[in-house]
Order: sequence, then structure tokens, then C-alpha cells
Amino acid sequence: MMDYKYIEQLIDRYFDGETTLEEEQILRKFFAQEEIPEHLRQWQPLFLAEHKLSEAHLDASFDNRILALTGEQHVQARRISLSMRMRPLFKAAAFIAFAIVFGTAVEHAAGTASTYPDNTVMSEQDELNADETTPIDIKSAEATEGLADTVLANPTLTPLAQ
Amino acid sequence: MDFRNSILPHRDRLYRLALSITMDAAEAEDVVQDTMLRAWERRAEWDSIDNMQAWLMQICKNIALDKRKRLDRQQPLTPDHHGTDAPHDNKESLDILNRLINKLPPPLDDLIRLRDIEGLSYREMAEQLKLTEDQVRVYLHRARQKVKEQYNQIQHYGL
Repeated sequence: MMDYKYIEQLIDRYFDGETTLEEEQILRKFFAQEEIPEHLRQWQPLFLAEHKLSEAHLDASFDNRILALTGEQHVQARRISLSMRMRPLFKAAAFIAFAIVFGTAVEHAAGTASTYPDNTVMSEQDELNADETTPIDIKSAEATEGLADTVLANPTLTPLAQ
Repeated sequence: MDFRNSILPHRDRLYRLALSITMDAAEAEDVVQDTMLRAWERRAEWDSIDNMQAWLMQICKNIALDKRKRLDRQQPLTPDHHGTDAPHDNKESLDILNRLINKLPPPLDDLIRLRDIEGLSYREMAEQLKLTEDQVRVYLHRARQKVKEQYNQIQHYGL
């Protein structure tokens, strides 16, 4: 049978107000065990409660609540969803799609403009005229821009989203 | 002096005090919230307070004791509470011990909590309660003896 004389002495000195903080800690650790001898068991709730209470604390959600109630809440980091995080990617994809379609349209326009009958190099005036006289290609470019707007407004329609 | 730096850092100590009185985590959290809101309403006084922690703990203790009284009225601890006069499980013993400490006159109750829950030295307790260290020793001895005597009485004779 274990000798509990030391613990019994500590308990007596505790109630006489003579224990040090370290000795009181020994008592709390002792009573935190599962197996306590019958004659000492009556004091277990006291030391166990002290042990548990000394470790109790509030968490960060309390801080947020009380700071909001006192109007001292700092701006909290916004929670960003996956779709919000992907938004720049969608925009980039839409821009690339727009650039490809627009580029194709311009290339197509340039190809049409270069089919002059005499196949000569165009003068500046000819280039201006060519731009003015290609209604079909302009429409094509407008259509492309319209598509790009649609794509920008609906990121899910981009090739990447598909 | 602002709320975040002067009041909020005391939250855990206030929570342990409230918990030691109410013995209920949710109630204790409410007590700390009420304490801090009350302190916030009285922020004009902050500059004239020389010991913010002692001031907050006094507010907290009063609110917690009021709450404990309301809880006791809802769940009175009577000899036939469990069909017997003597406490026979840890939870009930703990409840009785807690009520015995709550009934101690100030500053005996404060001394037991500051020492046994917060682990304060005699010097720290003396500073907080504006007592001498000798008074702290004498009062703490008296407080623990009272708890022991009353607890023994309940153990042997029931409530």
C-alpha cells in the first residue's frame, strides 16, 4: 500500500494556509489522478475544480463578438470563395479568347484588303480606303467584340470554364 | 487607453472568476461579456482607475453572483435534492464547495479564488486586494478553515 503521508501533510498545511504555490500544484496533480485512496477522496472535487478552472479560457470568437459590440472591431480578413479566387483567371481567359477572335478577324480583314487586282503595294491612301471599304470585316469585328463582351460577362462560357 | 489593449486582455482571468462562481461555461461567458460592456459604458472613468484588473474583477464578481443567485433559485440545493442528506458524487461535492466559497465574506472568497485558481503569490494578492501580506496569510488561512469545517459538516451530517 502506498504511503500518502506526504500528501496528507500537504493537505493539512494547505488548510492552514502554509503551502507554497509549488506544493499546491503537487496537490492538484495528485488529485487529478483516477485512483485516489478512500480517506482522501472527499477533497478531490476541490483540487480537481481548481486544476480545471486554472486552465479555462475564452477563444477568439469571444474577442470578435465583444469588439463588434463595442464598435472596436477591426476590418476582418474577407472570406474568399473558390469562384471569387478563380475570377481573375476567368477574366484572363476571356481576354485571351477575345484577342484570338479579334486577331483572326483583323487577319481576315488584312487578307481581304491585300487582294488588290494589280497586287501592288498599297499606298497610305489605299490603306485608308481599304479600311473604309471593308464593311463585311467591320461587321465581323463588331461581332467579335460582342462575343468578347458576352464572354466577359459570363466567365463560365470561356473555353477554360468548359 | 483603449478597449482592445486595456480591457480585453483581462478576459481569461474574468472568465475563470465567472466560471468559479457560476460553474457553467455559457453563463460564465455571458458574465464576461456583460462585464466588458459595463466597463465600456463607464470608459470615462478609466483614467482614474489605478488597478484596472481589480476594478474589472469586482464588476465581474457582482454580475456572476447575481447570476448564481438566479441559478440557485431555479435549481435549489436542498437535502432531498438527490434523495439523501450527504453529497455522494463529485459533481455534487463540487457544487457544494463552490457554494461554500461563494458564501465567504470578502475578501476571504477573493483570496481563495486568486490563490487557488489564478495561482497568485501572497504579494500579488496583497497588491490586488489592498492588504498587507500578513493579512493575506491570516485571511487565507481563515478562508480555507471555514471551507473545510463547513464541508466536513455537510459530509458528516448533510445539509
